[in-house]
Amino acid sequence: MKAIGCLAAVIVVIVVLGLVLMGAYNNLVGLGQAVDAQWAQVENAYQRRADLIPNLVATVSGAANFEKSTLEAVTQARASVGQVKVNPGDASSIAAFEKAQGGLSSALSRLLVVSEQYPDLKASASFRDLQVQLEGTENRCTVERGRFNEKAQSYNTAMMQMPTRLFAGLFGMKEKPYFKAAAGSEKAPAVNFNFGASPAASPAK
Amino acid sequence: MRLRRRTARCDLRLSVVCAILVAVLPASTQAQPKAPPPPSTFFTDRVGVVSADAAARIEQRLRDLEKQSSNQVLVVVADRLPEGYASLEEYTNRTAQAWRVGDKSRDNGAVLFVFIGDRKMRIEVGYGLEGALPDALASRIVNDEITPRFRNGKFGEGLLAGVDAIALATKGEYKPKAASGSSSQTPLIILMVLFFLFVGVVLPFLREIQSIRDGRTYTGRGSSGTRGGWGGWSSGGGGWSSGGGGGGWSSGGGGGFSGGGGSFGGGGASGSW
Repeated sequence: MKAIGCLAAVIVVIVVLGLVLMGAYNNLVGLGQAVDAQWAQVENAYQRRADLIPNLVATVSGAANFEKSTLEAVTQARASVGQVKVNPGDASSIAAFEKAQGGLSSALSRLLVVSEQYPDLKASASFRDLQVQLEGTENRCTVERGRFNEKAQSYNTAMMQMPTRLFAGLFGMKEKPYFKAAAGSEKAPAVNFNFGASPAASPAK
Repeated sequence: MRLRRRTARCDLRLSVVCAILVAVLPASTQAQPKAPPPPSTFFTDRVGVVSADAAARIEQRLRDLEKQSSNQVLVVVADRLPEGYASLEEYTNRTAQAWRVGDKSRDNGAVLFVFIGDRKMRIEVGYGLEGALPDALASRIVNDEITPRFRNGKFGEGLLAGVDAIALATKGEYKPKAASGSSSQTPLIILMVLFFLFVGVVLPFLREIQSIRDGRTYTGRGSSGTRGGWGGWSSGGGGWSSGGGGGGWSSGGGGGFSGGGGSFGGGGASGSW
């Protein structure tokens, strides 16, 4: 009688524990999927920016004797962005992605700065539209990156909390990396108005 | 004696299970700048730069737009950008997202934010309207329609022109919800099924019971008491259904704004005057 009671209690505890673990695991899987889906959104926003570049280059190169080196820098940065393959669960892979995209960002901002010297170009409607679109995509990238970090945070929080923490490693679940601000971006970039000399794209460390 | 000891042990086990369950409950996290509460009208002027007449016209136009196209467009005039946000864009995106402007499945919302004190504005466009209202067009609306009028201090006129341009751009993008929305029709179907179930099964059953009861206790006081009870109940039902069909249920039919669950990805354009 007593033994049966104990056995029943043990079984109940095991079943409850199993259900709890299963729930926690499923929850974690859902959160992980949300992170991956949000990563797709991030890539989408960056892809949009990359897609704008041929248009931008075509418009800008139409302007009379536009600085060739700036255009080449943009085209090169665009090409190197296309070569980066990213796995959103891997911190080094995200860092490589950020580095490539950061290179494109600085090449683009340099192009916009240089274009200030071409009043005809600046006045043209198509260039103004492109500039607005570029601003819009940068903004979208920021938004989607922020959301990626939020999703990664809720995944990581769920994973580091108590019951899941014990078994997450068993199932090969790892902490998701965050987007970090690009190195040096907390300092205002040194602005160099001497465009003939070395480009001021990379801020000093 | 033995029994009592066993129940004590069971209590211990129970408390262990409870402790595990409590540990499993997720602790609340997340600390972000809180978005302001959503407005209840399509047009909100917290500064008072727009005349009552113009405000009413803007509100009417935005309401019509939602009726014709299901697109939810809000206009919010405030004084300054609240503290705690890195940029205008961050604030507008977070706020529009928190207000859930637009339909959940279409994301067809847009919000025109104007900060009089900062002399800045932004049209924040939801995912579903980015095609109809791309950034370049939003920028033209801001710079060509609204800004010149704002520079002359004509805020009502500028907003009306902006609202008209937004309405023109987004009008054809979606049809009103009733024409195609299966999701809005399902609750109606459920209600109808419930109604027929009620009329066909429950009511006869209740009548049966009542007639049995009437037959059993044929004293004047008792039967009139129960009958009065049923009567009151059914009239209560009538009141409920008329409340459901009237104002609040068909979203935005007669009333103001209520968020539909739309999402924003940072589309739109900013400007200053």
